[in-house]
Amino acid sequence: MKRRKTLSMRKLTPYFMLLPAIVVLFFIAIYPMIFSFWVSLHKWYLGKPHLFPFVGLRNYYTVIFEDSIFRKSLVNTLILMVICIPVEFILGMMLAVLLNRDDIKGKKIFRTCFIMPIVITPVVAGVLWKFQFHPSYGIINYLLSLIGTKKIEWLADPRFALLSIMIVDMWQWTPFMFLVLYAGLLFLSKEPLEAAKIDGASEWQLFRYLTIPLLTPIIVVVLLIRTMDIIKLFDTVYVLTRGGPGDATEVLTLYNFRVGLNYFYMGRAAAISWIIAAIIILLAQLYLRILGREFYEERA
Amino acid sequence: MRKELRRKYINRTIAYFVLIAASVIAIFPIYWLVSSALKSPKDIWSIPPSFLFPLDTSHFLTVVKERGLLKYFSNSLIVSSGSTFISLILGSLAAYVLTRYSIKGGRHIAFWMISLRMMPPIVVILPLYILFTRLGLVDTHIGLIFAHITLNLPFAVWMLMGFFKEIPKEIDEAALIDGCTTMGVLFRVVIPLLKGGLIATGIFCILWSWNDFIFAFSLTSVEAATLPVLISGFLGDYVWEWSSFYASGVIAAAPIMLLALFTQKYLVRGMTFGAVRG
Repeated sequence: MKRRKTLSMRKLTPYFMLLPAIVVLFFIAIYPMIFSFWVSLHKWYLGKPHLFPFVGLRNYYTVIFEDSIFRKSLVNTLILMVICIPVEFILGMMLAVLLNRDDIKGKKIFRTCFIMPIVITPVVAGVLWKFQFHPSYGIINYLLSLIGTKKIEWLADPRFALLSIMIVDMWQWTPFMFLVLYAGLLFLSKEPLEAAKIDGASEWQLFRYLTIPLLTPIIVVVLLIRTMDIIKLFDTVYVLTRGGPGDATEVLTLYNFRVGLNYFYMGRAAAISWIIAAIIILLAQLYLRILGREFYEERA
Repeated sequence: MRKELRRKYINRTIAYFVLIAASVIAIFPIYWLVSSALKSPKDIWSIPPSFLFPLDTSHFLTVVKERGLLKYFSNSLIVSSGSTFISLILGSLAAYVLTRYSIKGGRHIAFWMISLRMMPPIVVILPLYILFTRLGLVDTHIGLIFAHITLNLPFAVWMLMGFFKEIPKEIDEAALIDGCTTMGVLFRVVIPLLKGGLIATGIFCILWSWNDFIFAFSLTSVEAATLPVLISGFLGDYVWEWSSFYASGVIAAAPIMLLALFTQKYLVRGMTFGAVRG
């Protein structure tokens, strides 16, 4: 009798161990997300919280077809994505390949330098750069003045504001690309490379036909992570420009935040956040199709 | 042959040049942060920047006295250690079960975890703001800790699953036969073997939680606000308190950067969700 009891206890223990995580996540993540979806189907202005009329998909319709600022923020986010990610990737790859050369000394020091921008608090980095973009006192205009360029109003000029955001993003995340690709390079087995070298392959051929294909899984992972990060971009833009001048640097997450927590149009804000979620899911599917599902499932 | 040697030499020089230039660009703003925090307000604005200047440490005292820096610092500390601690405990329990037992839907749970970690924070923040307002959790430590757990716990489960897989099952089977309970196996046998994995996961949770701005900014205002919230406040639309910013910037960024410095080897794995080993 007693034996049976301990046996069934033993069978149940795993469920008890799993339960706390599931329960916590249900209450702080899943339930809020369901709630947010429900809110997105209603018109809800927090200034008049008792009015809560059901409007169906109306919020989604308004956001997608009638909200010009949303469209602008979507375009800006896409611009950031298609410019920053390739540039960061190419620069990061270049640094990784250079540091991986056998004849380079002081690898650890270089790597440490490159780690710093990744781990610095993004808000601090943003404010630091805000100073550097100052038209009269910033170092950027000073350096440009040495080669005879006129003063640029980096953050106040709509033509340069988005570029300023890109510069900060590249400063902060090129090192991330570098760090991950460098780790990937270190783990590549040397044998195929040595063999190809003996067969007389040039360095470019080695890189193009051996290194790149062998690194593909890692490349897909960093690109995926960076894509998601750019959609979530908030801190830097908030600190540097708050989306301005006008809506020149408005991006998805910042606009979503503004509609919800500054203007208090909760229904519309919830709709926007679900559109952002949908974009992320679509992009992730795209990348994972390239990578294959093994990355996700190997662990489960 | 000589020509080839010369080419090699030139290539190496170019490589050094590029790497050094890149490190200078990477480090320069951080040098700027630290040096400006030690400059007198007058020297902050000098252009070209002065490299030799009289040290002025008064800004640190000013932010501590007038801006309550210590409160924000302890808030950051409480929130990041709290969310990390809870995430590690619940995460290791869940990860252990998910890797060791064939539970119905276990695969789905694992997939669900990583998807949750990929969700943009804003999707959770808006409803949490409403729910926290109703529950009185806005601007409390516990509220922000739970908000951070929404991302740290899925991350911890996912990462720790990877580390648990590396420990052979035979070890816990042996312990079970020796009469250990399931929990006993986990805490007395497996966890001690998992130290490195727990550290790697924990460091990344701390890093993320310490640096987070969007959750803290949305869900706290005064009492439980963290350092990034304080720092963003120095840039009002009209008042720019640069000296105060630099001093608090150093205090906010230094601990996390030092931590990262000493634990570099764990960073890559954490930042890629375990997909790449550093």
